[in-house]
Amino acid sequence: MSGAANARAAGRAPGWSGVLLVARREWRAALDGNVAPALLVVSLLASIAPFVHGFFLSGRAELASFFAPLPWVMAAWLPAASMRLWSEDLRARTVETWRALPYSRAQLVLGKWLSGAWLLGLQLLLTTPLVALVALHGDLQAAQVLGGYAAAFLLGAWMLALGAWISSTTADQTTAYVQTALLVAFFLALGEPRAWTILDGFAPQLLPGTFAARHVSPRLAYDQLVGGLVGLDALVLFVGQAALWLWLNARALARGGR
Amino acid sequence: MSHPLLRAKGLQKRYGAKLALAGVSFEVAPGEVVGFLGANGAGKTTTLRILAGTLVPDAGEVEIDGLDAAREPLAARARLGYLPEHDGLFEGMRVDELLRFHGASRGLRGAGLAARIDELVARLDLRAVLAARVHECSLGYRRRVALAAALVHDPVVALFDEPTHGLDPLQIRAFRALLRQLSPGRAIVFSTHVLQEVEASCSRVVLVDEGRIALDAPLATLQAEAKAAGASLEDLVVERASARARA
Repeated sequence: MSGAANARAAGRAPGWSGVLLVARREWRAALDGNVAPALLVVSLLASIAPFVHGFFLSGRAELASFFAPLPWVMAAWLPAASMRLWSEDLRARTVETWRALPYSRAQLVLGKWLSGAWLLGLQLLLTTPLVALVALHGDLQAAQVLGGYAAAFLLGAWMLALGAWISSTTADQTTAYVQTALLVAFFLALGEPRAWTILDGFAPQLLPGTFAARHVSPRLAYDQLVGGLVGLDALVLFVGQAALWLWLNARALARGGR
Repeated sequence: MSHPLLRAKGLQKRYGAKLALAGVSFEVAPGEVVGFLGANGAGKTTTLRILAGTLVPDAGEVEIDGLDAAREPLAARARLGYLPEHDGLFEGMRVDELLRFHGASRGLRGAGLAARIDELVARLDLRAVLAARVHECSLGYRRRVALAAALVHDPVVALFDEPTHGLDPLQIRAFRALLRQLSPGRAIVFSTHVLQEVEASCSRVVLVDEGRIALDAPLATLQAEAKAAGASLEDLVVERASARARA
């Protein structure tokens, strides 16, 4: 088929600015409900609790007590932020509305993921008073602060990408939450020394646990960045896996239109 | 027929063992309002979903305003307005935000978008719910909000799936008036199983039955034939469809 488009045609595709349009809509939708703000507060309190405990009870002003347990706090709350990204649209059948709008699947997937990343960024931003406390009462090392926050953002963005994909496979938000939380916990656990030692024991020549900890689990990459070591392999792991989850998300959307 | 704004060619779709569409082809020229008739499960919604780009056909082609919908899906969809069978509205959004979002998604901005929304709000009598959230609106309002969202970018092709479902008689009259205002220069297809709706609003009738086009004729021709035969339009349409099915 061919032929020039009618000159009086109204309406045009928004281009890549569409990613921001989608992200803004999802951001507002998340904050309009009660769930996201409540989760934000609870997760904020949970994430700063170890630091506050150490600061007031032991007199230690160090960010390590904030960053060390943060992956597990995020493993509990970010699946709750990602569960609605697509499950809600599948339940309410608004996924058909998204498909009818002039957005590509990549724009939709990135826009939705970006809205979650904004929530994550807000949560991390709200923890920055801890940095001021450490600067006043402890030994603040700028590289570790930057590395820690970069690691937390990358790990959170990785979790959101995984959660967005899972969310695109089910119309039930609870199912999406449970599956994402379990998968995130599995990936984090692969990076725990006890887990990789057990796995290595099954095949001592191949060391599958060590391989999984280094190349599959984001946990060691997170610890590496928190420690101020910026390694290309850590960035590749975060970005590469997040891109894989988002690609699977787009594939799930494509299958839904068939 | 002048250059068609909408062209469907050989659309086929299968859901598992069920053949939903078995080669649906038709064209719609500027100014035509096509009543897409058929029983439940005949293939109306599947056809409209494929035309709207929300469902991928197993075979066949769709052209919107000269654009191949498979090769240029975004540009094609930007020229379309689609009202799905269910509203497809984002429940938590305020009506004014929703209309702005749909307009912005089609590249409208600023004063142009505001003017277009004002126009639709007046035409569809939405002022009372403009600040309300979608889930607070009655069924009639929801349907009109969905219509406004489908038309906010002044599309050249409009696809409405059961547009009058949930509207009261006055609202149905207003919808018919809206169709008359919209039709010049546009291609409009709306599905229904109410023949009176087609008689009141359409210039052409396309009847789909078991995934095939069973009848495609101008309304005026069918009305004249029915009058000559001393039959009702409904009788004539049913008879034609049955004859086609037997053939």
